[in-house]
Amino acid sequence: MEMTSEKQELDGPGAHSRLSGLLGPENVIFTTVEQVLAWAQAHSFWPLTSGLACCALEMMACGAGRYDLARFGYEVFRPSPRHADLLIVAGTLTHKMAPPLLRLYDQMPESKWVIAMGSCAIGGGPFVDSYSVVQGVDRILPVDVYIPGCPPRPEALMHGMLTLKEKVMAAKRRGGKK
Amino acid sequence: MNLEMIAAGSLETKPEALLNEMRQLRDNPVFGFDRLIDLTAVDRGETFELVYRLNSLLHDRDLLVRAKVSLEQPTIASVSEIWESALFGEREVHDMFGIVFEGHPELEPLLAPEEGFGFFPLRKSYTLPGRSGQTDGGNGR
Repeated sequence: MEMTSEKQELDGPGAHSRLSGLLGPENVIFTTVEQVLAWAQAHSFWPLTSGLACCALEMMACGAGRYDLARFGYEVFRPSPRHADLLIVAGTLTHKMAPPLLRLYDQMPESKWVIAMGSCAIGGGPFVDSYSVVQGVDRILPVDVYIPGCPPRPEALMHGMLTLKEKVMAAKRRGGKK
Repeated sequence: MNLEMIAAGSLETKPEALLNEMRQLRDNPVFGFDRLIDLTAVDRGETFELVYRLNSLLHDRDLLVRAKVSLEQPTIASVSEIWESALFGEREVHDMFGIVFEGHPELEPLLAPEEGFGFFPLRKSYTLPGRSGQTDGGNGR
């Protein structure tokens, strides 16, 4: 192939197959382990099946047929924290429930992420003045993404998870956290 | 016991006499209060008032039994050996008011966290924490 015509041939229709031809039959792409790992993790979060209040119903709706979280590869809700890498705190966290939730988080293997779903998980919501409610899960857990709403619609949860995807990929590109 | 008060549906009793009277109310077929359907407390400012709601399936009748204990030493006998349904109610009142039920087999937090709140939310002296998350806990433990 002539070097002069190469630029033109890589644009326009059919460019992909011509690029494959240029790379050779092996289709070799150079990258780093971190980036491939991040790509895999960010496109297949395994959330823990856990819900604390009404937000959990929106989370369930999100996983069910109408909204179909499986489109993004996030549908594998795991009943065991040992199999999960994403904790969606969906609902009001009380002081009574805080130790069990913390234990679930501790039982999850690294790498792991936390989404605070809804007003209660973000900052206590309408129960912020109560004696029994934790004023935001970020008082006990490192939250990666906050999703506002009371409760957030399934689309909002999807957007939150896609935001987390961006965050995971970007962090790995920078060689940063987790 | 004051029969007129029982007939009127509301009986006030002394804490020392509570167990004795409660046992009579259950075992004497004239009263026949075989069920304890609610147990709670009220902070009256000067005293705590325990409130027991009894029900008789035999006579289809309700009775409120009230007993006052002091704020400084809130202690009263447990009625859990008379009605087992008192077990949870007394634990809840213990969480919320810090009232001690003597003779309760397992007076541990029911609604409060395992180590307790560190304060008693339904006491009038308790103030809500506010957005800062800080509380002085009223006259906590």
